[in-house]
Amino acid sequence: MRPKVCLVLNSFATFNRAWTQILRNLGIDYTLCTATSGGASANIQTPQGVFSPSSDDLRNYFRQFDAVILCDNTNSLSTTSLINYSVFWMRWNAPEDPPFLFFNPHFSTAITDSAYNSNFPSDFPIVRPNPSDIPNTLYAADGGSSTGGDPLAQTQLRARGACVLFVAENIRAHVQTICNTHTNYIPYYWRLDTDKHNALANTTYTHRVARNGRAGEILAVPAPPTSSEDTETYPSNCIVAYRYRNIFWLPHAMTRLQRGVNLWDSPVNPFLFWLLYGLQLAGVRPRYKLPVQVETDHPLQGFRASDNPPYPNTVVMQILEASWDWMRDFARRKNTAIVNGVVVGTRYRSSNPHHHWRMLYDSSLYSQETRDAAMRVHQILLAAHREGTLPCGVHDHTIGNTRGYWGSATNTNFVRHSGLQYGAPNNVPIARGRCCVAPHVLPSGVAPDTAITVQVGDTEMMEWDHTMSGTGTTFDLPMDNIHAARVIIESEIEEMLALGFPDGYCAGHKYTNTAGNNSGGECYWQALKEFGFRGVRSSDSCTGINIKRVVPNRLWHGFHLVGRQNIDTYDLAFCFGLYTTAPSSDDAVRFYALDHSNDISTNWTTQPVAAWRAYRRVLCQVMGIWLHATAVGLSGAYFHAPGTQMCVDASSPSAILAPFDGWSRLGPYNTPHYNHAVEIFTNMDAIVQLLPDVLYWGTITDVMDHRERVMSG
Amino acid sequence: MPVRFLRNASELADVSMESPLPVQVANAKPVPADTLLVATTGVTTDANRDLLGSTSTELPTLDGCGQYRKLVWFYFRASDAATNYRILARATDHNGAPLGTGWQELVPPTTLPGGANSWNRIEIPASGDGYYDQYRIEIQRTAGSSNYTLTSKIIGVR
Amino acid sequence: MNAERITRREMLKRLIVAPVGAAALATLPVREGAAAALQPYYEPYFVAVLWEGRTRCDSLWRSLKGDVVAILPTVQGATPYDRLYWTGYALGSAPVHVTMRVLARAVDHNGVPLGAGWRPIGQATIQTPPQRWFRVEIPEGHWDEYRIEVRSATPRLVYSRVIASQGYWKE
Repeated sequence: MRPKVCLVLNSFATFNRAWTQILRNLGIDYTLCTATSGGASANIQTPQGVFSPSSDDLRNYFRQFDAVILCDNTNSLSTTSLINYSVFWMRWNAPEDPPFLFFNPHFSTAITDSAYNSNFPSDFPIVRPNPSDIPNTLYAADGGSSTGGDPLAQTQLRARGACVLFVAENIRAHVQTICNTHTNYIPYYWRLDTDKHNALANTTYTHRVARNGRAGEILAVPAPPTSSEDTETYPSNCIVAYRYRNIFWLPHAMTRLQRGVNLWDSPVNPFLFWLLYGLQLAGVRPRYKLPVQVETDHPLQGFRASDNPPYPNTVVMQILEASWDWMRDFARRKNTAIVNGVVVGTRYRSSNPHHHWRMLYDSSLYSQETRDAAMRVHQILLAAHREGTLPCGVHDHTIGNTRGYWGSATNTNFVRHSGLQYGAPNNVPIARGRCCVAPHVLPSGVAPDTAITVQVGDTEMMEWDHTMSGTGTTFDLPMDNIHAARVIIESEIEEMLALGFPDGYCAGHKYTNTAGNNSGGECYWQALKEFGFRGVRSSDSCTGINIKRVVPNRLWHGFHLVGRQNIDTYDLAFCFGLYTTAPSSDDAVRFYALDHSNDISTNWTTQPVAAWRAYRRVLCQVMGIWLHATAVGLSGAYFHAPGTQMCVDASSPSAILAPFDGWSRLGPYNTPHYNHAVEIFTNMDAIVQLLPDVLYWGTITDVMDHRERVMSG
Repeated sequence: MPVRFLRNASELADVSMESPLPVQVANAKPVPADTLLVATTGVTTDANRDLLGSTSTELPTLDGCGQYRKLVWFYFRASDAATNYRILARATDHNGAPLGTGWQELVPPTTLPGGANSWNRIEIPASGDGYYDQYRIEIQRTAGSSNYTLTSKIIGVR
Repeated sequence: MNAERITRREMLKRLIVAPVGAAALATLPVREGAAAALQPYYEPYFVAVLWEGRTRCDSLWRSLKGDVVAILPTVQGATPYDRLYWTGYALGSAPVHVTMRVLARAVDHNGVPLGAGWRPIGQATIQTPPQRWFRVEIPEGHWDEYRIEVRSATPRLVYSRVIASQGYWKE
């Protein structure tokens, strides 16, 4: 089975290369064809020749593909020429013809091209948008407010919210949905001509993509509200996705930017769900399904008094206990593993006293009650690490000025382990030797007896004349060399063992997520490999002092440098909620710039629907980022469990885990309760259920395996 | 008449895709060219902005390049707005740590060749051999009124 | 042309030694002459045949493969090569007057060109007596894809090959 699609576009100069990156990751072959213009008279350049868009030659050419995808779209309904050439394809409906996937298609009445208008199917049931009469041809979506910029060009901010009901599957999911937009930057849904739809729905039609055997099918509509507070409703003829014979009319699927996907990262494309759903509907069976997984940082963490948290640390621990128990059960049921970066270092180093070891054992800072509550959380993590549902790895904010590996040039007063697990520490080098010569060019007799061999990657050096640590535990540690890396990592793993974990690298995954997303550089990667790691999460700038970048393909001698995408809901210490009226609060709406035309802030205290609007937008934004990490970057989406959970109703374990219910359940700031972990896992599970041919719940090992499969060497 | 050659010292064979002329050197491995970077850069008037958009002046654009004799920078520029590029390079030790701060300037701020919607190519270094471990490639628009996109690909040649 | 016995050594000489009809690219220098004209960074070069075949030239700019589809390359995957050569001869008994041009572009790691169109490397006119070898050197290497186009006022059949050279490590 060799899945193959054809992408039709106007110009490589305006092409978002995430289209091809996703297809590559899915193992779907593709051919790129260009149109010589946007008009109905354009020619289509294909590897087999230049064809008229209405020609039998082109039709026969298309029949070799599993789907034909149109990549061009516009943010102006007044555009007169864009994909006019595709009008002929709307009549290519024989069983041998492939399905055609239109995303945010331009079919406005502003098109004056007579060939387009005369060939546009008269029985097509979606009302053509009229830029001069938008209210009667489209439905304004998501509150009908204008976005702070072109909604089609947004990346990890300014999402538009939607809850979509997928009719045949009977599944509700929050996915960013923009059917069309205009220069007013308002998102719109389509208006169905119900008479035409009824006629199509009563017409039998045979094609492999016509799952109900009918010529017309409503695929998705705005989901009806679940609360009387939510007054954002749509008429019964409002739709967001439709199948007309073998033609799929779907919302916007790709950020409207000419962006390369460099070998490391790319700007977030938050609309990808619809591309994946389109492939699913068209029956394009990828060679590879993509593993969905997520990571957390700091699974056990309290808050300092200076952070002004809403709950005392004892309650924070209760929140974490309930949430981790829920996540552990979710991972078990879905056969995934939620990787967690445990903050190590606080056993020996004095910074970050609100992290793991200190929460468990520091009686000078925390009461017995708090420490007992922390221990209950810790025991869940220990048991879940062993069973594979919540594997934990090292994550050290106590070094490098809290920025982790090579976070600073020198780590002053570094304190290493004092010997509980490994025995008393030795006198070891802590800096590069003053003299370093490659062994094959080293004259005999030059190196002293104290010279040692060091290998970093392919480079082997004889080093001598080192700065040594002594046998003590405290010294200034230059962070730029493999000796320092080994000392640091050994100390980190020692603390994990002392905490009761059997290892420091997420068990069989041999991975961890790094503090500050700093993986160091070659010397750290070498040291991590020596300790048995297969990979770590890393920014492309991989030190805290901005002097190094990761290798181009993020694979260094078999060691993975997995990319990162943050899906928190706050900026500083913790999330106050979806939104609060406090002027400088750290809330999700402000974090993701979701207050479009102030329609949340101005209505928050007067219109309960504003909370539901905020909820939809936050979820759609996070899902968009997470799907981008899954499908484009093959990278690690991650969030901080403690920080995102501070806006829950903590009155009981069941309250902590309760789904969002608007103003019926409140969190600590007189703002609706919101449990980020429960919501994003539940919503992503709905998406995975909608895309059984494309996605599956997997693990970081699946991600690293797949990276080796599809990334260039 | 087809082109023919002597194969195995005794038989005449037609030249074809399946039996090309025997010009391959024995017991040798061709030197590959590695793709190191593919990026779209928004070219602005900001000083010290590299191809990946960073203004951190000590941060390299490319790292781990010590094995490459030269880099070749291909780019497609969307606009002819006057633009300068600058190429910096330095070596690191075997731990990956730069030998010092700052950079060796291989190319001072120089006009970026090419007009609107044009393809261009720059070798790094322009003459001689490279083998630097880190390179920083900066780009800055110096005239015109609008920022534009520059799509680049850099390969390393051994 | 009459059939003849020819040694391998003789055949190689005919390819590498200066052809009678050498062409100069309009914007780039061309070297004529013997194998010593090859500029080694390290020598000798590894040479690969990228394409070989016959092209029916007419008044349209056609790729060596015969198509007039402007977005299609003649050769792909040419990244490792630092120099290309186009060599061949025109069949028939009339004097040769064939125009050629070389276009190039780079693609990303998924095979998508970085932008629209091509970079024009150069253009040349092959003017030789009938049945003479010609060779054009394309010194701007390491582009991923090249499109080599030919046209002729009077229809001609051109038999040619594109070879490319890159350095190698001796094992």
